[in-house]
Amino acid sequence: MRGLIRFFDALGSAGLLPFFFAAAATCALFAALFFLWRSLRAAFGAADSFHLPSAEAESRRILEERKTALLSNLADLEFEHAGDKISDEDYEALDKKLRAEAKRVLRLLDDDVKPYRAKAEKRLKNYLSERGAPYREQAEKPLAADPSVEEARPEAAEPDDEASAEADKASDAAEKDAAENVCKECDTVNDADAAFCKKCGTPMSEADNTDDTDEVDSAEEDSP
Amino acid sequence: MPTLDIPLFGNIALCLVMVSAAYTLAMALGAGKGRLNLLAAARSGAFATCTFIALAISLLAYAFQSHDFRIIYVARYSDRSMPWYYLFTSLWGGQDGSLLWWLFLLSGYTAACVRWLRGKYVELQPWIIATLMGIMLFFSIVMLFAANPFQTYIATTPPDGEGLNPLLQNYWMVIHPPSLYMGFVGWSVPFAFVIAALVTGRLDEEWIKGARLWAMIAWTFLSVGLLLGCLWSYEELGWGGYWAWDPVENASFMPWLVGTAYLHSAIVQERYGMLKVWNVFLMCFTFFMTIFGTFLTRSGLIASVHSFARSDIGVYFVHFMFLIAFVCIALVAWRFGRLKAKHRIEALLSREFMFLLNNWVLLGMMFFVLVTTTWPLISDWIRGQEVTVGPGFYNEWMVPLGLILLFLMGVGPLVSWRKATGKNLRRAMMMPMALGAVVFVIHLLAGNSMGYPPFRDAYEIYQTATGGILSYFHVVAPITATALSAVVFGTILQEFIRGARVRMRSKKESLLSALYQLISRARRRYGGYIVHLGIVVMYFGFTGAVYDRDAEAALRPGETMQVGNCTDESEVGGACHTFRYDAPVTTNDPNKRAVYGRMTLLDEDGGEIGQVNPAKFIYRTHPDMPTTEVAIRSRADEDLYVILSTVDPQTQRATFRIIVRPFVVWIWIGGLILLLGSLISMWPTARQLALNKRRKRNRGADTGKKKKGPSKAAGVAIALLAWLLSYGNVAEAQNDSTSSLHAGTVVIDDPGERQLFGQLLCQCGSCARLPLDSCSCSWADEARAELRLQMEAGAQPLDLIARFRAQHGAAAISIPSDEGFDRLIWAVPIAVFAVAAFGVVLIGRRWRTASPESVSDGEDGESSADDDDSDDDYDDKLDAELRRLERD
Repeated sequence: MRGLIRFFDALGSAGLLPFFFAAAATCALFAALFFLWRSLRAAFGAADSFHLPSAEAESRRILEERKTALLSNLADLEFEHAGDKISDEDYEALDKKLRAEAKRVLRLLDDDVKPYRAKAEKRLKNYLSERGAPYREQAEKPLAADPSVEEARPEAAEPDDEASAEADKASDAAEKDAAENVCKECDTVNDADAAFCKKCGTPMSEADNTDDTDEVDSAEEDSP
Repeated sequence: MPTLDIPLFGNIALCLVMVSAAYTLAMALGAGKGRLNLLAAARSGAFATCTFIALAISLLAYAFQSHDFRIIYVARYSDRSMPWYYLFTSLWGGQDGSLLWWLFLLSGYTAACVRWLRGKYVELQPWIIATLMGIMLFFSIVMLFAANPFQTYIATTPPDGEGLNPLLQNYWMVIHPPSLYMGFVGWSVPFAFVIAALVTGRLDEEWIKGARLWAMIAWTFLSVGLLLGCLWSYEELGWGGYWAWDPVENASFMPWLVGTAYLHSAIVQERYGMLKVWNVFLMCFTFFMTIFGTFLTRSGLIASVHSFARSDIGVYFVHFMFLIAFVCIALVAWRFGRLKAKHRIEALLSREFMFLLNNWVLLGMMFFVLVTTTWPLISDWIRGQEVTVGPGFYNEWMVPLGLILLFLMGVGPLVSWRKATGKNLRRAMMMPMALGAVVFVIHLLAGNSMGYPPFRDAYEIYQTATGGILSYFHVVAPITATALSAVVFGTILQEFIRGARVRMRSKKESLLSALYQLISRARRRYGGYIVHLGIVVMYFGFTGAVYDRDAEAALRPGETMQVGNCTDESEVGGACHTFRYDAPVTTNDPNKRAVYGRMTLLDEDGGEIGQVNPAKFIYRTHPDMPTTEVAIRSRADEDLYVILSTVDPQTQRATFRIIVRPFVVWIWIGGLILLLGSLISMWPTARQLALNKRRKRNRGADTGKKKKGPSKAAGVAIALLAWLLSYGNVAEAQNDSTSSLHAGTVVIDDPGERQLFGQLLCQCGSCARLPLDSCSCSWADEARAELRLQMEAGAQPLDLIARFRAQHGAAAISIPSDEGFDRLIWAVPIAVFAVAAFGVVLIGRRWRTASPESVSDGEDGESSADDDDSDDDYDDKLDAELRRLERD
């Protein structure tokens, strides 16, 4: 900052400050014209289009927000109890209530992804059977409320099966894809073939959805 | 010398701003109506508008630097002798330029916000941009049609300018207005969020989260701006105080109060989905108050020490305020159904309810200041009688309210969220209360001997029952303030200790690492506590004002004067200070002539401690307006504030006034703590940083472009604040650079006289709103002499006030009387305050009784069939989620 002041001091004593501001004005003018041109081009021609999230994504967002709030409420309650601000009875009653509500939200979030899970399992089955690997049915486990990859990945095949290498590769690819198909704006995990983020509408980049269709299909298991 | 037609270019630039803002507004509205392809156009349009504003301000800066006196604004606020930095600050030295400067800062916020919004809040975005453009459009219209900074002289161009007002030629003018404007303007962004939320009907926690960072930035700048204003007043105006309840000061204090209320109640909505209507109202109201404050300052409607000249832009602001009020009310009415809270509070004794109480006090204070500030207008409007309300009135009334707020600050954090248990609360209050009691006893017993008596002398501003009650508060204010400050301090300390202890127990951490982890993991909470700590330290500094002492003397070189606790019978003040007047020293520079009255501070044995150099500056452009430059020596326990009242170069005789002001330095220290606290709570968490890094990496691989995340925005805000502060520190180290409006010789012998003179206003016609205790013109001198004679003859102060009032009218008294219509000035706010208290309790009760069982119980029933088998799974999952939260 001192350097900046010294710089202006030098400019001022050399009588160059008017030119400095004239230059600033010129830059501002060109920048403004550039933005105006870009704006007009967007309005009347080639625009990066924005998309509104779907109703499902919207209801999911609300649930996610609710979940975050409940989790931090629970953490707060825990902290306040540990800090002796709230009596044991009140703590237990409130904790029970909040947990019940949180579990309800988690369940709703899981219900939300059930159809996707069924679809993903079907595709995985098809994929594996095409390559001659048997698909073993999994007892349904509740999926993670958070769309994180690790917790939602079903195991693919027997390790000693001859197709296991391929299946592993497939699941690796699935993991990789899913990881890559995270929206760069809002970090929402999207369908592998999504052209736009379902939460914020940002276009997904070309690289993310031009992969081999099979692999893309198998990646859907992770997509809520 | 200038060859470019800057006035023409400037006007074109302003037109371009207006056109571009209107165009962007249209695009944003189109995007908001569902044509989302227009959003990209609106975003670029917003950037275009911002850069057009940058063009306009650069042109004006160029005009100043190249002395283009064809432009009226340049000619009026600069001259050829001014150094480049004052030529730069002249940009906001007058009305027209400061509006452009305002717009420029708004464009900075807008550009940052639009950039930050990239890919976020797609539904809200069009409306956010539309709101911001609407505000810009308004300001560009005002500038083009009513306050054009590029307006030229019709006839001849003056050879030189009139120069900037000497009062404004100091570095405080470099930093105080920009910081305050940053605080004012900054509220536009969260306001845009709430309007967008109202229009789209997305009224859950989304907008609160989006607006949070921006509200914090605006609040921090406003707080720092207010404090810098105090510092400016203290160091520049030379009357010895930092806050005079001037309408302009009040204009910036009111949005601060509402904004503070919003920051608290927003937490409740974010956590529990309650207070939705209230938060929407508070946000709209905060923004409204910033515009109202600007209107008060700019329209010249209310006489003030540093308001701008009366101008015709007031009518534009009135229309704009009506528009804002109409839009907000209509939108809230339209969306009222969606604003109903989904959740209820569990108990009245809960943090949620404490926040409600905090809002009640803050808004009560705001309403009081609002009514009082506008009282002269109201009185003139309703009964055609002018009145004036001086600082004495505010000081008497605001002290009790401030103490209530302090009390809430002490108790609030101890109450747990959702439901507090009496027993636990009592246990939690034990330590803070004990600390408060200890301080109370110490102050009570040792206060007198230390020179800080616990009680003040009784003083009634009215001869009525109200006067008696106020007088009671007046008497006990010092000891109450110190005891309550101790309680708040104890509370904060205890919060940190308890939190650290929990961590030490559960995580087996050392005390230091537990404290560090505690703060870094719950920045908002502990940052907030640090802000509270800053406020308490400031309260402590404010309390020091009770113990001010001053002395006045005319000295020849070599003579000494004493100030402070120098005689045995004196009750207040710390040490006794001896000053020796050495000689007057004159210096010259192209801009001004300076006469210093060099003094040496001596210790008890006559040894030299240090020098002080109060001065008079005579500016070349304003020879008839010599300014008084005070010298301040700051210590932890008191400030020595030295004013050179008069100096005669021939005889070398000089008159000095020295004020001892205890604890003032703690106000600035408190301000620094406050700043630290708000930076901590703004600082992005590790999780956010990781998220940003990932985003950046993604984008880097993608397009190579960078993006401004919340961390960047916070970083920029922090850098700016740091810059402001580094300036502040330089300034503080320097003692002799100030100017004064109030300066001059005012001799006041005893507190009784001071109180009397404080209530009477100077009637010379040119020193608006200055009470006799600080006005130094000859009229005031004569008036004081006459009043003294009458007092010696045995007249009572209240009779003298009544006589003065009869002689010069009601507007000559700084405290409106407690009778008839004038009584409403306090009765209305107090009545509203009481009704609001009742309302708050009623709301709390209704909330509680309306749904004693939380929502979850009712809705849980549907899915209870498969509960039993999967319940354990979900319990495990919930625990896993909680652990993850803890890790993050």
